[in-house]
Parts: sequence; C-alpha cells; structure tokens
Amino acid sequence: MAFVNLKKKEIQAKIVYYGPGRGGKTTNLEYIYQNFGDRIGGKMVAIKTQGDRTLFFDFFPFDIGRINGYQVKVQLYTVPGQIKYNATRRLVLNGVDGIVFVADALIGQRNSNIMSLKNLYTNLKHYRKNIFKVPLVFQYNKMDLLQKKVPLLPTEMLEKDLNQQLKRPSFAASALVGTNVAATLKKIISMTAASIKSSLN
Amino acid sequence: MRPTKELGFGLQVLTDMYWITLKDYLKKIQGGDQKGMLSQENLYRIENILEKDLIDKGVKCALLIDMSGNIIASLDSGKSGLDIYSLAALAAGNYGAVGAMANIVEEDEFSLLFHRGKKVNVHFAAILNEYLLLDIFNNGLSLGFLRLIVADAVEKIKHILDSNTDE
Repeated sequence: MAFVNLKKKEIQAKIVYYGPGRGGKTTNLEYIYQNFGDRIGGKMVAIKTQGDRTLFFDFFPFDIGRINGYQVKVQLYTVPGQIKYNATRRLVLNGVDGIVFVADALIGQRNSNIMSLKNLYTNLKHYRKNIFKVPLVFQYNKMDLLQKKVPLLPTEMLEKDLNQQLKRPSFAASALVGTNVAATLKKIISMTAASIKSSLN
Repeated sequence: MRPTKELGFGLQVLTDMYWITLKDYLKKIQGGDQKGMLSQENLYRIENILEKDLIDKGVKCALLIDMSGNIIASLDSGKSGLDIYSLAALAAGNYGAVGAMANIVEEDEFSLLFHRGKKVNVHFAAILNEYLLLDIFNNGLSLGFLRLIVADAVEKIKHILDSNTDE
C-alpha cells in the first residue's frame, strides 16, 4: 500500500499496468517516459527477455508534483503479460494501490483479455484484495489500427466482456500514438488517491 | 494553494476530488499513526541506526524498503548518485522471486541473500516479513562482519517497527 514518509514529506503509491501479452503495457510506460521525462528522476528499468518481451517488470518513479508540501511520487510498473510468467506477475502486484488494465482490441485477443482479467482477480485474491474495491481503469488499446483498416473489437463488446460488472472508467486509446495515455494515467491517479482516503476512514 | 499550477504538463488539471482527498489525507497523517507510515520520531530513530550501525562502520549505502518496493529510509556514505527508487523496486522484486523459489523447493526462505560484484556487493535482510534492509558495500568490508552488524541493526529496527504497529 501507499507509503508516507513524514520526514522527507513524500508519498509513494504503486500503480500497475496489467493485461494480456503484447497488449501495450510497456508501450504505455514508454510513451509516458518519453513524453514526460522531466517528471521522472531515474532511467526506466525494463527486465526483458532476449525477444524483447517483458520478463519481470518495467518500472520508473513519476513525480506528480508537490502538494501541501508533500512530494507525491507514483511508482509505475508493468507486469509480464505472457501466461507462463504468473509467479512474477503476482509478485509485482504486491502492495498495489491502483491498476490500469490494458486490453488488446485486436479481434483475435478477445479471449486473452478475459483470461487476463480472471487472472488479475485470482492474483489480487492472493493478497486478500477484492477486484471490486481496488482502483481500476480499463484501457482499450490499439485504436490507431482502425485507420489502417485493421478489424478491431468494438468498444461496446470490450465493455461487455470486461467491464459489465465492474463498471470502471474506460478509455479507447493508442499507447503507440499516445491517445488517451495521459488521460488513463490521470484517472487512475485520482482514483488511487480517493481509495487511500477511504482506507484510512 | 491548489497544486495545479505546479504541474506544468499533461496532468496539470487534477480533479477537485483528488485535491480534496489529498488535503484530508495529509491532515490525517500528521500524527503518523496509520498503517503504511512511521511517525517522524521513529523515522529519525531508524535513520540513526542506519548511520551509526552501518554507514559509520563502512557500508556504502543502506536502504530500508517495504516488500512493495517503497523506500522507507535511506542513508548514503557520500554522493554515490545511485538511483535508489529503481534499486528498491528491483530489490523487492528480487527478494520476492527468491522467496517464491524457496517455496517451490519446500523451504520457508533462503537465509542468506547476497550478490557479489567485482567491487560492490549487495546484501539483503528481511525484517518482520514486511520490510527489507538492503546494504551496498565494497570489498573493504568482509561479508562476515557485514552480517554481524546487519543482524544487530535488524534487531533494533525490528523493535521500532514492532512498537510502531503497537501504538
């Protein structure tokens, strides 16, 4: 959970990008890293396989500014999307404060999206967290492919498959181009802050 | 003062809800009596232990982190310029991965986690299953001596963290 350092006047919160393999989680982080570099203290850490797939996680800390004298630092992580890496995926979820679920809008990925969401539910349960209570935002990625006439899952279908019960905010996005990447991040930050407040009450 | 003017980029427009939330939150935490934080006094005590018991005895950098990769306290013998946030995230992940491996081979834990480099070494020590003490030291310090001083520091920090939970 979020950690508050009273001496350094700093708040640290952990936001994890979750979703099926090749869905665009790393691309989200790369876009944020490249475009908002002035907010990022260190280099982006990426633990990848030789084939450039995420093996453990990508990570960088992201400053969202000083509020009331406190420096608010959000730690952004991705998980490896491939099914076989569940043990490491679960480790990254430890202490999570907010989740962005990056769904792949390619037609062939419909089942992978659903399986990945089920996997998120199970892994959160491992940490005694309820998917209905954790701050969660959906991002339907790869929407830029519509312009290239690539058939995609309609957002209505993605909503029905993934978000019918959860009823969380969702964004049609393109992590590659940057469409709604900042909007998704902004939303999850505000939801995470609200959740921290309610957990203290 | 509202924070919006200080955030000169895509996130500049924080919602009212977010601002109100943080204002309430910060008001609540001043006493440091909630889970997920330590009182200012306890943080000073921990930093004092890191300095006197570890840095003064030759450790290059000492970090107390939680298992989520958040930094609780950090002390450095000089300006090493280490990216401690990335280091903390990787250390928590590394420790978690080693613990998961231990479970697979039916061990509760591996009692020694240590990485040796040509010049610099990293030592991990768990505290109360929730925290991790990370020590970076060079070859001028022997592993045996380091383990002795770390064990001592761990006991003292454990006592503070325990008392923080009890308060």
